[in-house]
Amino acid sequence: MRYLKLYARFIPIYFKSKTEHGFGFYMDFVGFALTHIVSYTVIWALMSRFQTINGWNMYEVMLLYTLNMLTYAVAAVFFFFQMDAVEEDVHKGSFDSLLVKPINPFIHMIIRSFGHFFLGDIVIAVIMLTFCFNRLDIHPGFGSLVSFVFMLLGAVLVQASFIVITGSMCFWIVRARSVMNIVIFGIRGFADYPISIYSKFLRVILTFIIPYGFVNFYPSHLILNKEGGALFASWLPYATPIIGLLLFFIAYRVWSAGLNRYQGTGS
Amino acid sequence: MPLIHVENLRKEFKRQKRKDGFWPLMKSLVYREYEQKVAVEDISFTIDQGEIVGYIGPNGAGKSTTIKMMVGILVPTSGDVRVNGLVPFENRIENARRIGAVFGQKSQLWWDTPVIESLRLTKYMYEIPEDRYQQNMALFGDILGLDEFKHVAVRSLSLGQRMRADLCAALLHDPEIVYLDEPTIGLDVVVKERIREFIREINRERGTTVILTTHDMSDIEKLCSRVMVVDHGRLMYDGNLNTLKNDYGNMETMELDTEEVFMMDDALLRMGISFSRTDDARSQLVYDKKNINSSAVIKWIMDRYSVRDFKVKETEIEEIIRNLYAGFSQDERQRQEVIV
Amino acid sequence: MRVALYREMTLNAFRSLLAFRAEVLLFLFGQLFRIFVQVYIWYALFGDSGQLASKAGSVTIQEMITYVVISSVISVFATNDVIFRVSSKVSSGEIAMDLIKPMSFRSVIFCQAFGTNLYRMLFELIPLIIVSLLFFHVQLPSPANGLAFLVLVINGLILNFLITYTIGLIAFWYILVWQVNTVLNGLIRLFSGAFIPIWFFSDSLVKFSYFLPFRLIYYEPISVYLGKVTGWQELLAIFIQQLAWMAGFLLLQKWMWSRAVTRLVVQGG
Repeated sequence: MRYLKLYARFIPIYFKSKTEHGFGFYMDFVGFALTHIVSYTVIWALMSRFQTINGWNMYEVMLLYTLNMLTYAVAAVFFFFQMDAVEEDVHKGSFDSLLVKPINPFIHMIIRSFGHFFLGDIVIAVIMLTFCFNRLDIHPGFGSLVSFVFMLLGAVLVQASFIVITGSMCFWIVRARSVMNIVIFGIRGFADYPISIYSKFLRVILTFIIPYGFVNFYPSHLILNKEGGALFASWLPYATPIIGLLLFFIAYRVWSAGLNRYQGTGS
Repeated sequence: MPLIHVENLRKEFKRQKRKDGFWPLMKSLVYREYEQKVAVEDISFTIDQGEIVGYIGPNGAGKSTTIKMMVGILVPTSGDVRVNGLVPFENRIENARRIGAVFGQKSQLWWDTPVIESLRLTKYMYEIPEDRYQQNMALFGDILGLDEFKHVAVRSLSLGQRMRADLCAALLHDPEIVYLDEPTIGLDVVVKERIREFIREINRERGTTVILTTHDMSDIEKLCSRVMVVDHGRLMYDGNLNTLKNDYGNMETMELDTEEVFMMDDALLRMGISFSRTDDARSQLVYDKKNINSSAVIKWIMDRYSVRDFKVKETEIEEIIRNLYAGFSQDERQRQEVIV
Repeated sequence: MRVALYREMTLNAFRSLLAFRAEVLLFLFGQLFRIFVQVYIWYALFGDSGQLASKAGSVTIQEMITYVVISSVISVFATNDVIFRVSSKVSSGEIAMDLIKPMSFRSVIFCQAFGTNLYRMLFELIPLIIVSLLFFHVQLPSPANGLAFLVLVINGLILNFLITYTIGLIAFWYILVWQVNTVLNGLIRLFSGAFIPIWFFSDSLVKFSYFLPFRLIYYEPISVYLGKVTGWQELLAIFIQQLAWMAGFLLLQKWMWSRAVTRLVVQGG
């Protein structure tokens, strides 16, 4: 409760100080947005030549890309720059300041910054989501809309977990940022396309080991009528919220273990 | 009952051995060697409420490691730390409520927000009642001169302003203890004085216990009633500043300005006085205060020369500490018996 | 003597990179992931048919996989580091340290980029090639095509350097270089053929890409590698286009630099 109050105080102040930069502040959004415009254009250039990839049409592929981007952006608002700052703090030795405050360091880590950069992504994602729904002629009823939102929340947790887990590596290794980059900008890229196009081995990895498949591939089966499209088991499309919670729990444990190591307990 | 109780404290670190050269570098890709480093080795002391303690020692002596264990950031390898009856690392958050800390070069305030907003967020973080917050802000703002930069974003503050803002933030919640790591490093004389004044004021008015590390000996002289000197992870001296001065600052220097050219004399040597000449008229005499006092020296000289001017200088504190370090490494054990 | 200076500058950049050795493995993984994604996309797009019709005649899946691998090999070198190197030096004022060196700023940057590439050759390119050969059936070119490819790639990389260097100079006027970089990245991703070969483009996209220099870095050299470009006239045409763009950027860069230096003098006290 106290944390929420603190955060509620922090956000307006953050935006006030950011918008004072004026032009640069808005350019941040433009910069991020451009990357996505290019990505959509790539999908368009590719799909207008080939029509379908593994039975997925252009708008379905765009939907997958959008879901990956949307859930990542929401998670990144709260975790990306924050975990990035943790790495810098640990190396410079200024991480101590998180530990002398009467707040759970995990919460403190989240609320001391805000990833406004990613808000632009969210806007684009919402626009594209509407666009794809429109083109695919999807009109979800209230029930399926609610379950879709839960799926999204689960997917956000999956995305957040990977940021936290890879970012926490800085408590053990020196160049943790590379690990973060590999997972977030490398492995996550696998989910930009339907994971059914990959080999069995990769599908297993993306479903059970590094479950990025639950970010978009599986949940999208709930809104797209893809018969028998889900891999491995037919209930997997419903599993995203559980996977998200489970993974986030693991992420928190990894963070705590890192903290313990930093403080010199155990090892 | 003492506020802080430290007993047989020890902290070891494991550190990767680093080597230069191409092949050792390649080797370290696969295989890493570690070495054990003892940062703090068997330190014990107690600190009472209301003390201002200067914790000094060369870089890497174990100062910040000790302090980090006292605030609960680091877990001791062995030994006992109790602050206010609590074990800091087990009750870190509870302990954090009662302490203030300023360390490192990076501000603990919200980096992108103006100082005043950042301080207000601190209020919410520590749940400081509004009237208390206003009261403290008025008092601290005045002594620290926060008004001139309170609407500036923390990231664009100068070093001195940043330190003042951080000090204010660290004390807003009326902590019982404040830990200050190099609070005056890199600051100009005016700001230094301001910060010292603030620390004195807080200590006097609120009875706040202050523990500070510093390399600036004038901080120690102006603030601390008690000094603890640490080196190689061991406490080498713990006591008041005057005793330290008496024990290790027994040499005095007399600067003489005489009409005649001052000549060295066997008698002076026999009194244990050494001599050096700056130029024809001026000379320096160095002697042990314990063996002979300055009045005896000046009397002996005035009997023989016409003295235009003279000045007696005590050993500077830096030099005292240097003597302490030198003596310690020369004959560690023997010294330790004398001091402890 | 000059050579010794350049050599030392290059070696220095190389040495400082050695310190980041942990990134070697991670970079390799990153590259491989990207190759894997693309290879599987092409497998899925080709479907059961082993070959597809394109503007460059029929293309087999083997050729497409080779295309992906070679493209990622080129991307090891054709990076945008130079933009950030230049812009950070300008905005931090560190450029002053380079200006007092007895060589042009462009050469300083080039040496550093070259040192970085040397390092990349050893620690990124070679492992990448080995792993690619293990996993994928990469076709080898005919000796003549291989030689032509090499020449065109080196030209393309110099062109890439000039483009990124010129864009880095924008930092003298406009601080937020990273957005500019994003735009450039996007243009390259689309129009260089790094991801989708231009032979699969629609007509309008093909036309557009011919107005931009980026295809000369990826698409054209790889086409030569795969033997899709035949006849020395066509080769020469590509080569001349590269030279023309290089000359263009050299001039632009020179003009910008002369303007930038006066700004530097005006700003600095």
